[in-house]
Amino acid sequence: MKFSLSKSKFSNCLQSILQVVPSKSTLPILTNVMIEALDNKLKISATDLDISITVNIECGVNKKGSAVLPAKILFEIIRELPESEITVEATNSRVEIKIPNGSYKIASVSPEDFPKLPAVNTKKEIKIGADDLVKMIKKTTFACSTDETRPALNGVLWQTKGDRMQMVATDGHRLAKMSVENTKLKGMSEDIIIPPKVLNLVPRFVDGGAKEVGVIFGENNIIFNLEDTILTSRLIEGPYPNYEQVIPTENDKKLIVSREELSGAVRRVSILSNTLTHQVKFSIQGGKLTLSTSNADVGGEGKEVISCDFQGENIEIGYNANYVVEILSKMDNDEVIFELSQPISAGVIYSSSMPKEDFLCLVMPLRLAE
Amino acid sequence: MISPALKPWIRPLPERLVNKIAAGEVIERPAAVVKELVENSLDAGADRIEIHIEKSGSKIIKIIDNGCGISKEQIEIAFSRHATSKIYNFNDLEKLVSYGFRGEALPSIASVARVRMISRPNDAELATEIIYEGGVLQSKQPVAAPPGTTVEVENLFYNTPARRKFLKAEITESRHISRLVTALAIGRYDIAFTFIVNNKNIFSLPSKEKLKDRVTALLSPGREFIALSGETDEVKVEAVIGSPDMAQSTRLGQYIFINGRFIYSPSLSHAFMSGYGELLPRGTYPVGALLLRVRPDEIDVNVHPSKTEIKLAREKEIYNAVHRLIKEALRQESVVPVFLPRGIGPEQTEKKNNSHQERFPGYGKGKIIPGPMSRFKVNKDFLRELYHPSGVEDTSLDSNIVRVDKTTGEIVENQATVSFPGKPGASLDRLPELPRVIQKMPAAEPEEISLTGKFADLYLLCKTGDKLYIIDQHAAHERILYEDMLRRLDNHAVVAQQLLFPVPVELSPEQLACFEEFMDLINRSGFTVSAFGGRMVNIEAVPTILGRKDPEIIIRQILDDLAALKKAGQDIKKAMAQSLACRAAVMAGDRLSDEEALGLVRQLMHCENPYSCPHGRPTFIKVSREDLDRQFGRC
Ligand SMILES: Nc1ncnc2c1ncn2[C@@H]1O[C@H](COP(=O)(O)OP(=O)(O)OP(=O)(O)O)[C@@H](O)[C@H]1O
Ligand SMILES: [Mg+2]
Repeated sequence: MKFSLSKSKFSNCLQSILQVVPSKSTLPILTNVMIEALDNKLKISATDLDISITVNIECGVNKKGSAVLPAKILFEIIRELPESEITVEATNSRVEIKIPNGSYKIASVSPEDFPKLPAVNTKKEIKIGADDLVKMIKKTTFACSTDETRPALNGVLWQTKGDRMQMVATDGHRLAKMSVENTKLKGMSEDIIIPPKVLNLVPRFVDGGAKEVGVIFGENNIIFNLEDTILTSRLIEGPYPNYEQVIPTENDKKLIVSREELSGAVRRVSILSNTLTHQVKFSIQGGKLTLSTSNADVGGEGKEVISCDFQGENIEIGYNANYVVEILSKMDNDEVIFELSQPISAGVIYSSSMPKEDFLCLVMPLRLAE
Repeated sequence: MISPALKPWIRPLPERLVNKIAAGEVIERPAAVVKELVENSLDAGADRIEIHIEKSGSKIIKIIDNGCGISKEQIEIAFSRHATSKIYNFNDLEKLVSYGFRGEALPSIASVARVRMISRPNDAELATEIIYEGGVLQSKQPVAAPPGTTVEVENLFYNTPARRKFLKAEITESRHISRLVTALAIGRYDIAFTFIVNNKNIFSLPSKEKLKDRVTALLSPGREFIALSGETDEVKVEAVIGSPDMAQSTRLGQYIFINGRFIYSPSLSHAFMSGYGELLPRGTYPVGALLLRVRPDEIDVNVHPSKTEIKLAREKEIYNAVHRLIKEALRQESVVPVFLPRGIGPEQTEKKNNSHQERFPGYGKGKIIPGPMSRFKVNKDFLRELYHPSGVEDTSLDSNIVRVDKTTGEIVENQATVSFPGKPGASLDRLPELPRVIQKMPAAEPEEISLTGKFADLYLLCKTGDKLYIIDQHAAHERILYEDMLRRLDNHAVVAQQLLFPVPVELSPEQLACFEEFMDLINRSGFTVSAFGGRMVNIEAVPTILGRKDPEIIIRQILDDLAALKKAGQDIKKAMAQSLACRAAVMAGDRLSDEEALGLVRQLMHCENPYSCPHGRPTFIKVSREDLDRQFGRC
């Protein structure tokens, strides 16, 4: 194996790959990257067994072959090199990195030991709009649960329904749903649950400006074909809870408030909230929204009043400040709408610039202690 | 009319028979002889007492004192029944200050053994030697001897075969004697005691010692005990108590005294234990000595012939005083267990110096006792024997023993090094058995604590000054949540997270029964759970501390915990707090960020009792610079 390419190209590629490489693993081989030199291109892959990544880069290949190298060491060496053309050559069980004024040699692991990555059958590939995909991802993954006792909630539900498709994430306390028009996936009725980790990687590789990305739905994995990069991930087994049933349709109280004002106030007030509950009380009365918290442990109290638009009976309701702040950060416009009902039932939050059919979040209150 | 021939002849029993009957009461076993004789020596004002035992007391029990002695005119009287120099009338009995008062011990002992007494009052030129066998005077003659009294009891119970047979295995009798002598030495820490078993010096303790030094030497040399004292209207308490992690599975490590008398008192023993509260793992008992003083007229020692059970006039007040004092002392002292891996630490360092070790003949095969004892040192294995619950083979004790070749000084066989780092998995199980030493925690401000690392996604390593603390993240978090939960339950301030998806759960019949019993408590604890018909319940809210855990799994665990804890006699509200804390706490294997870890440690330091989790396991242990230095052979 022998190839050469510019330092920056190599370094960028390795940096992307490193997102997938586990920093430590019970299987030490997984901390390596696989480099395959093919005709005029390089294929660099890594996997943590859940997610795998393959990046293709064009480069001059003098001699085909493959090598498996420790990812972190390789990246650190390349990153620190001055910009220049780098030549990489395998000799016996070692790989030599040659630069104009020196060389580095690293031991290579046998490529046979590296796990086989899932085969990509591009025939089954469906093209969908890159913008839509990224939008759905960015607006939902935050709401996934990290608690392992309910695996389905650890993933994002991707669903197509009629002429729309949507991603939904929830941890049982709040929920985010982003829905877009869908023409390409029409007829595909299967719901799948995708680990957020792979979804969060997708935007990194399409921000380049591609219009469309390829998606391949496998038996128990999903493959994203993003220009030069292929990301695959195992899927999470369902069933996913019936979220539609819990989206309230008859909430009779409507609060319209400035997103920035609210977010800032909640953040400040919550500094004094209990560190276990993060409870902040929303008291809405006429045109005034009062946020307050008290923390017996530190003997603190915080209160801010902001003006708002409110229709409905006065209400007092408690929320986990973190949930509210996080949801607000996903809204595009400065004006957000809360549709509320009872102090113990779900509130619907959406932005005035985007209909709630497209993007909405639910948040469950904290029951205020008397 | 009853014929005169059949008329029962009422007459006094021959004194010898009376004594033999009394002996049955006063001296149940060899240890009782030792007790009576040593108490006589104490009553005689001795300040040096030597105790020799051979064959667990069945061959020889010999007590040598330097007390006031008995004049040759009085010596025979001492062996007659109800002869005592100690009380003259009943009023005296109420203000009893001496150990003896019945005048029964000597005649009783003399009736069931061969007894030789040599006694010389200070002002006499010569001592008198008097010998009894089976209660019958054999000889009396003047002999030369130093001032004081020596009593030698040979062939105990030789003339009462039934009792001789009734005696337990030698090892058991031997353990009784050891425990008793330990008790005597603690109760009178002002007196020099020497204890010799089968010609081997078990301990030699100087006179006028401090209670703490004496207890430490006798109960757990090298460990740090806590000394405390206090006084109420009813009682004056002086105590030296062990840290919670020294607790044992029996009460044998407890020595309780009233007015210098070693007593057996379930109530005071309970007060002792309850002072530790949650610091103690369930089923364990603290070690230490409690020396109580009450007005002599407030105790009745005459309840039991062996004088070990007493009646206290104001038991309840005394109970409360003891409980409170211990509780306060433990809180003040801020005790933290110290980590000493096997094979190091003070015990082992000492052992290394004992280049040859021998078997202790009386104590069966495989138990090893170091050989020559330096003066004023207690034989460690004597202590092990003392607390070794009879019948139960506690192999962990043996594995602590290092065998050294007598001629080369080489370690022949070191089970300790095999058992600790050798077998993975086994090491964790064994951890609680590691010798741990209690030490005061430096009065460090929590802010001074810094995180130096994390290990195995379970232990947080922190330091203050030159002390390293190893914190169990789960136990620590449990403690924090437990205290928070208890406060909230008391204040009806548990915060509930409403669930987006109500969770229906089909309970097991046991779980359902428990749910029905504790429904109120459950719904006051942040849950909203309602019966749904059949065995179904519906969960609509959970306490916020449970985060995003699966409500179904949680409710089942909580119900199981409540049932178990209730069965164990736990207060049900505490049980709830304990269960929630346990379920909500970060687990072993949860990876904490540095910030979270440090936050956890700081919160722990603010807890009322940062030293143990609600189950009584330690939340952290301390490794001092010295411990490490010792391990690396730097000192
Ligand atoms: N070691 C001793 N030194 C001096 N006097 C002793 C000693 N042992 C016994 N005596 C004397 O012998 C008497 C009888 O002893 P004994 O133990 O039989 O009775 P006691 O101690 O008075 O009462 P108790 O039966 O309750 O022990 C004592 O009262 C004491 O005067
Ligand atoms: Mg006596």
